[in-house]
This record gives sequence, structure tokens and C-alpha cells, in this order.
Amino acid sequence: MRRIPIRFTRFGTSYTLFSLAVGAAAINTGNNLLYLMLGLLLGFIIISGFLSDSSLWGVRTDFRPAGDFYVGQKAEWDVIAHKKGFPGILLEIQLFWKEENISPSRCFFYWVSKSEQEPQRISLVPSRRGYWDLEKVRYATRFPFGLFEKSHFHSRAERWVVFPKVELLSAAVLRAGGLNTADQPAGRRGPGATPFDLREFKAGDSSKRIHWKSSAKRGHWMISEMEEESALSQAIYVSHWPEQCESFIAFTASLVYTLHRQGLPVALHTPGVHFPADHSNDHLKRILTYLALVDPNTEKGALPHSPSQGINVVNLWERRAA
Amino acid sequence: MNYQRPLLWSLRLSSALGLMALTLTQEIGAVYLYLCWLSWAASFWLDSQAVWQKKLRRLETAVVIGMIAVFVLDFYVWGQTLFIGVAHFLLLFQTFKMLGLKERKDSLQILMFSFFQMLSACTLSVDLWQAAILLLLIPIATAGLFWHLVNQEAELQGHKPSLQAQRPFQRLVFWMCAGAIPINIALASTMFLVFPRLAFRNAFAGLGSGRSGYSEQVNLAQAGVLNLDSSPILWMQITPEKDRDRWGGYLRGTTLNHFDGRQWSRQSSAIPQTLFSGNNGVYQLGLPADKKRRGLRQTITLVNTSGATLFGSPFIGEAMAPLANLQTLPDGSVRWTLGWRKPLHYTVVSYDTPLISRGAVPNAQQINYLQLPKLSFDRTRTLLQQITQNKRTPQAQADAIQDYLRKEFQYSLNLGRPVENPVEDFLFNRKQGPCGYFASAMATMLRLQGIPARVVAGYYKGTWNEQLGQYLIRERDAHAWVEAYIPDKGWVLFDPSPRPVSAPTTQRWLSQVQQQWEFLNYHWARLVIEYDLYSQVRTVQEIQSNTQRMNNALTAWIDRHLMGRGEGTAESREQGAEKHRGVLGLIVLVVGLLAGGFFISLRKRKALLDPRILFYKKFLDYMARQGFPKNTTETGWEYARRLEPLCTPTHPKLNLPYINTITRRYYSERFRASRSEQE
Repeated sequence: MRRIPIRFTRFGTSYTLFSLAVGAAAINTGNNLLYLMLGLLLGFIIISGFLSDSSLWGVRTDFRPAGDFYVGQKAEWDVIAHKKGFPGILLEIQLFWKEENISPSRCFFYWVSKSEQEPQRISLVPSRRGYWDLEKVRYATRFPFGLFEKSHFHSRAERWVVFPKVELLSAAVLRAGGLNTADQPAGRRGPGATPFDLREFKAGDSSKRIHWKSSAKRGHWMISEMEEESALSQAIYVSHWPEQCESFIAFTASLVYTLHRQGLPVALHTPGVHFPADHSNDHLKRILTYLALVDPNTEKGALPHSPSQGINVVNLWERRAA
Repeated sequence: MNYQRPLLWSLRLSSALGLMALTLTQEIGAVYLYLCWLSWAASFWLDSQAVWQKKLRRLETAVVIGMIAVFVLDFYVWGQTLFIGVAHFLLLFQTFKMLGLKERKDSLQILMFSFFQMLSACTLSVDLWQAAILLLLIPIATAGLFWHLVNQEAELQGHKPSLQAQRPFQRLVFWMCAGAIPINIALASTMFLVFPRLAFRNAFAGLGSGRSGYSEQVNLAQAGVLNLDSSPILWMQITPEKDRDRWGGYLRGTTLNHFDGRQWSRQSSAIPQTLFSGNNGVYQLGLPADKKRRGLRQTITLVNTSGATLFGSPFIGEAMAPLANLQTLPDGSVRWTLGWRKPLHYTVVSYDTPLISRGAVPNAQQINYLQLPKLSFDRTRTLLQQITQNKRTPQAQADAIQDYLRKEFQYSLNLGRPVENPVEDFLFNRKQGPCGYFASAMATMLRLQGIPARVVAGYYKGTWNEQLGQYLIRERDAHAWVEAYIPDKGWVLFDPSPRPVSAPTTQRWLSQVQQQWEFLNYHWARLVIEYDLYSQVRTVQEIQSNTQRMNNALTAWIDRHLMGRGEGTAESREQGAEKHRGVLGLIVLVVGLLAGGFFISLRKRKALLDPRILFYKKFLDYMARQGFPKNTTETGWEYARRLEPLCTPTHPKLNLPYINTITRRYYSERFRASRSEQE
């Protein structure tokens, strides 16, 4: 059976010393009422031990990230605790990270039962990109009387990715990079201003779309359909990894982030990977995940061939720094 | 529900419990107790007057200095023991805390004061109500400590518990209190029975509680009115019960021979004789001249042992008591010397005739029973002449004095005022008073007459408890009478006090309730208060002997009924044994079948889960532990599909190919069909 460490609180120390004094007085005087009183005091200690054990055992916690994590921004998790059987009462949960110099994050639950509880939120500000590993979780309680604090550790290998630090780049920076953000025809039907195709009128079509010339020629209503407009996909490439990698990676991430915020499909090419253009959130996450985890030391060298179109991020970054 | 209100109520209840405990001991100064009770009552109103409480808070330092001053006065000037002084100090502190603003630390202090008060009460009194106090302590302390912790956590965390959490706390506290009572009783009883009684009895200066009780002085220089104290002193059983009629009602304590005009006390140069018990545990104090005379056997439980005196019907001839030794004095009183701070259970045999080597007028050089104070008794002499006119013998003279006092004077609790000559004031002015005045007057008159006399302090009669079959003697039954030495008869008892008018009969139901309470109190004293090392040894011996007896009975039964070693012919014994063996075998078989069936069914239930499919259950258990439980309404593949989008680097434990493989294998094993057929 796993041992649960016990730590005396200040009140618990006083209480125990008081109990010992009562015991000594009982032994000295032979007063049976003092023996009864001693029994009651020790009874409280035993009940306290039993209830605190019951409160600690079997607690399960889920950690749900509240959004994505970026360097320098507050990363938050919702902590949800469950417990079957005897509820967990006055429970303190501490998260210990593998990262050095990061103090444990903590949250507190007054009542934990088998039903869904109101989550508690913990937060910290990551200082670097990459994997953030949770090493272990500590459950502690002073229930029921505050005489002792019982706790136990539970190994928990959870991992989250922290994206590089991002910031919205200014339009000047984008223009300096030669980025064209105008709309282009997408080659498919959709809302737009350019006529794309003609078809027969169906019930429900807007009368404003009637193509009168074709309708006159064919003798029945014809509707013109427009072409969808889409932004031109932006290809950015990293020709090589510069010396000051971290700030460059942060700049690259910021560039991708800014373009994505503008609704532009972004493609990224680096010596190691190629991400085709896409404007979905998943695509952004994939790129940011790559940038969070990339080790430039393993991607030495340069792009095998420079794309015909696209922005060299290294040049842009150096220009900006200058 | 406010989570702070239950804490306030808990500490109010606990402080009331502590105050009640101290009040019932009747040892603590009334002023302090009244003050504290008033503050307790006032706290109900003041707790809603935050402004006033804050103002009071500012006076805390000054108040504490004042309390320390009171403590110093209590101990050094008013002569209280350190123990009582500390109790008074804590009461004053609690008074202040109850009136003032109650922050969390104040609440803890009030809870601790209550603990100390109950502890103090345990050392000051041993009555049955202590059991009720300790019983009530369990739930009140459980609730108080728990709510204190909740408040403490709310302070530390910086946010109070939500309403959602406060509601289940109420139920929790109820069940904790309900559960704590039997558990605590069991633990306390175990501790009580098992913990060795060592009783070192090291005395610490100033910490004695010095309970008032039996007095070895008759003081005529007091003023005011005697307070009838109902504290029980002793229980007395007379065996056989038919001998109850032989008892005159007197329990003799000590004799007082020296009268200084205002106070009777014992002064003697006689060396007390130390007695040790014989092999049978009996102390022989003396035998009657007529050896055939049957003594009166009394079994006494002395609750208040502060007087260190063995009481009994006059005159004690034998004693059996768990004491290392006894001391007897020439006047026949019996004492012990070693400290005995708890009720004493002993037996005495008394003889109503003078005992050989006891009771005779000792050497006049040792004790002077004719001593008189240096006061004028002229009027008394004149009165004496009138009373004893025509009475020739000392017996007749003593009877005449006794009759005169009984007829012409009234019994009263009024002590009058201190005067120069209280005896003459009683005889000629007041003509009423308590028994001490009557005894003093008669003893003085007998000495004036030249008859050796002494005042005896003890108890008279008490109340009969039908349920217990014992007399209960209380403090208010203390009595004083006279013994006069009559030549050829020895010391003869005289009681000049007229019988006091008996109190009007109380309601029958009330007297029954009172008797029931006394019955419980008696057993509380016998079983709990008197439990000592000898009782522990006796308990262990009884357990051992009972266990041995059960063992022997079982062995004998087995021998008789199973082994055929009982009575009767060999053939009948063997037949009987066979029959019993058959029955026992049948019982064992049935029990075995039932147990076997149970375990087989348990294994079957496990075996229903084919090991090939059991792996999927283990997989689901694992996923549930990781925070991805499968809903009962989901199929295996629905579950796998639900997990699919979650299989990202943020959840390294979710491996989609692995999940799909497991699920596919489960389906193939269980249904022996492909995925496409299932879906």
C-alpha cells in the first residue's frame, strides 16, 4: 500500500503536544476522566487520518488546454477533477513541470465527486517554444480538521506544444517582402464579381442574375454564375537557418500568423519540410507546431532549389533587423 | 448558506459546553462564570454590530494587561491555587473574545479555551454529567474544527467555496458528527481500558485543586447562612439488608477535643498507630468486649476523599480497603496517609459498644476532654444546675442536657453573627442554630459538669436509593454530635440537635428521576472513576479465565460428542459420536458447497470475458484513466472515430493506428466479421 507523506500543520503540532500533555497528566494523576479525554483527542487524530486518506485516494484529473500556447503569452489549462466513492474535500492540486525554474502551478477544489465539477484554471507563461512536459501531479489535503497535511504524488506524462512567440507584423513589413494580397479568381463558382458560367433559371434564383441576352437567344431564363475570388496563396521559404535561430523562428511564425490572419493561404518551405498553401486553422497549427519543434541543427544546409515565387524569410528578417 | 456562520455556531456551542462544565464543578468563582455567560449571551447581538466589535478590538491590549493583573491578585492576594487562577484568567479572556470581533484565529482561540475548560472540569469534578459533557464534545468539536478548516482554506486560497460546494458540506458535517460519536467512544473506551494506570502522583506547587468537603473543625465564629450543598460524599450499603434497622444513622468521621471558645479542633499529642492489613486483607482496629456481639457490615464508596478519613458507623472494628496502611487515633477515628485522589471503595464492620483497646478514656496527659476556653460560663453553670437538678449519674445528667437542648431550641441554618462567647449567645440569646451549636453547647455543659466530652464530626443518615439498595450521603448531611465518657459504659453517643423539619415531599416522578440519576452516577463512579491498575489486572484475569472456560467447554463438547468420551456404555458413546460427526460433516459439506459455488460463479463471470476480448476492456480502462472514457452508448468504432480528431501532437498518448488496430482486432475476435460488414 502506497504511503502517504504526512506533514504536521502548526495547529496539528500544538494539538499533538497538547494531547501528549494530557496523557502525561493522566498518567501522573491517575484521573480516569483525563484518560477518557486523552482517548477522545487521539480518536480525533485517528478519524482525521482515515478521512484524509479517503479524501485523497482515487482522484483523477484531466487537463484541458484553454486555447493554444505561445511563448510569452499566458498558457491556461482547465483542471477537471473526478473521484468515485468518498468525495475529495479541500483538495489542492499542484502540477510539477519538467522545466526548471518554473514553480508548480496549483489549483484548489472544495469538493470533488464523481460528477463533473466546475473546472479550476491554472496558468503559466512559457518562456520557450517546444514541448512542455508535465512531470507529476501532487494531491494534498488538510481535511478534516487541519491537523495534518497529507499528500501524494502521481506521475503524469502529459505534453503540450508551445508555439513560438508571435506578433502581428505591420503592412509595411509585408509590402517590403513583396507580398501581394489582392484577390484572384479561384476557378470555381462562388460569390464574386466576375461572371463564370451560365445555366438555366431555377426557382429561388435571384432575378438580378438573369442574363437577358442569353435568355432572349434561348427563349427561357438563363442565370449567370460568378466566380469565387480568393486571395493569392503566399509562399514563404526559409533558404537556410540563420545563426540567431530563436528570434528568426519567432519572426517566421509571426509572418505565417499574420498572413493567416489576413485570410491568405500560406505555404512554407524549409530545408526540412514543405507545407503546401492552405488557409485552414489546422494548417496554421501544423506550421506552428513544426516551427515550435524544429531543431535547426538537424536541418542543416539549404533548400535544394529556391521556389520561383515566394518570399525569402531570411532576407525579410535581415532587412527588418537592419 | 454562509460558510462562516456554521463556524460561529460551533464555537458558541463549544464555549457553552466548556462554561457548563466549569459551572457544574462549583469550584470556579461565580463572578467569572456569570461574566462569561453574560458575554456568551451578548455575543448573539454583538455579532451583528461590527462597529462596536471593532471598538472593543482596539482595547485588546489594555484588557489583557488588566486580566494579568487580576490573575496576579487571584494567586498572590486572594490565595487561589495556580490552577484556579489560570482558569479564571482563561474565563476572562474568553469573555473578551466572545464580545469582540471574531476573526478566524479568534474562533480557534475560543475553541481551545473550551477544550481547556473541559479539561479543568475533569480535574475538578468526577460526576456523571462529565460523561454527558464529553459525549457532546465529540460532535461539537468535529463540526467546529471542520468549519474552522474551511474558513482557513478560503482565506488561504483567496476565494470562498461556491454554493455548489457549501451544500454538500452540510450533509458531510452531519455524517462526520454522527460517525465520530461511535468511533470516538470505541477508541476512548479502548484507550481507557488498555492504557496502564501508573499514577505517579507527582505534585506540582500551586496546581492542586483542593476541593472543599469534609471539615475537621466546627467553627462557631461564622456569620451568614449555611448553604445546603447536594454534592454526593459517599454511598453506603448495609449487608445483610435486614441490618438496616440496626444502623443508628450516624457515620463517624473525626473527633474534636479542643475548644478555644469559638472553634472546636483536634489537638492531641497522642501518636497515631499505623496498622497493616492481615493476610486476609483485613485491618483489625478493635473488638467488642462481648465477642459474640455481631457487627454491622457497611460497604462504602467514598466519592470525596479529600478528608483522608474512613467513615463508618460508630465504632469501626474492622476495615477492608485497598490502602497500603491505615492510621488509627486513640479517639477511634481512622485515617490514611498516602494520597488517594479518586473514589475509595471499602468495607467496615462497626460495633455499637466500646471496643477493647479503643475508645477508653486515654491517658489524660494525651488528650484533655475536660478542657474549657478562658471565657465566663457563669450563666451556663446556673442553667446547668437547673437542668441536672436531681440527676445523680453522669448518664442521667447527659440525658437531661440532651433533652433540654432538643426541646427548648430550634434547628436553623442561620449562623448568626460572630460574638465573644458563641455558646452562651446560643444558649441565652439566639436559641437556634445548626447542629454545630447544639453539639458545642452540650459538650461545653458536660465538661462544666466534669464529664469528659468531645464533639464528633461526621454525617447523618442521607437518602435511601431503592434501585441501588444503598444510602447516598451528601455534603448537606454533614452533622456534629457529642460523645461523652460514662464510667462503666465508655464513650456514649448523644445528639442534642432536634430533628430538622423534613423537607416537603417532592413529586414522585421527580424523586424517581433523581434516584435514577443517582443510580447512574453511582455506576459511573464505580466503573469509570474507580477504574485503576487493580481493575485492569482483574479485567485481564477475567478475560483469561472466561477464555479458558470457553476453551474447556469446547474441548469437553468435542470429546463428548465427537470423540465418544462421554458418559454411558461404549457402544452408545460411539453411536452418539458417530451421529454428531455425521451432522458436523454435513454442515461442513454444505458450507463448503456454498463457498465453492460462490467462487466458481465468480470465476465464471471472469471467464465470460474471453481473454481474447479482455484485452479490449483493459484498453478501455487505460483510455479512461487518460481522460478519454468510452460512452456506454457508443460502439467500438464510433468511439475510435471520436478519438480520431484528437490524435494530434498535443495528445501524445493517442495513437490512431494503435486505436484502430485494437478496435479491429476486438471486432474480429468478438464477432468474427470484418469491419466493413459491421459498419
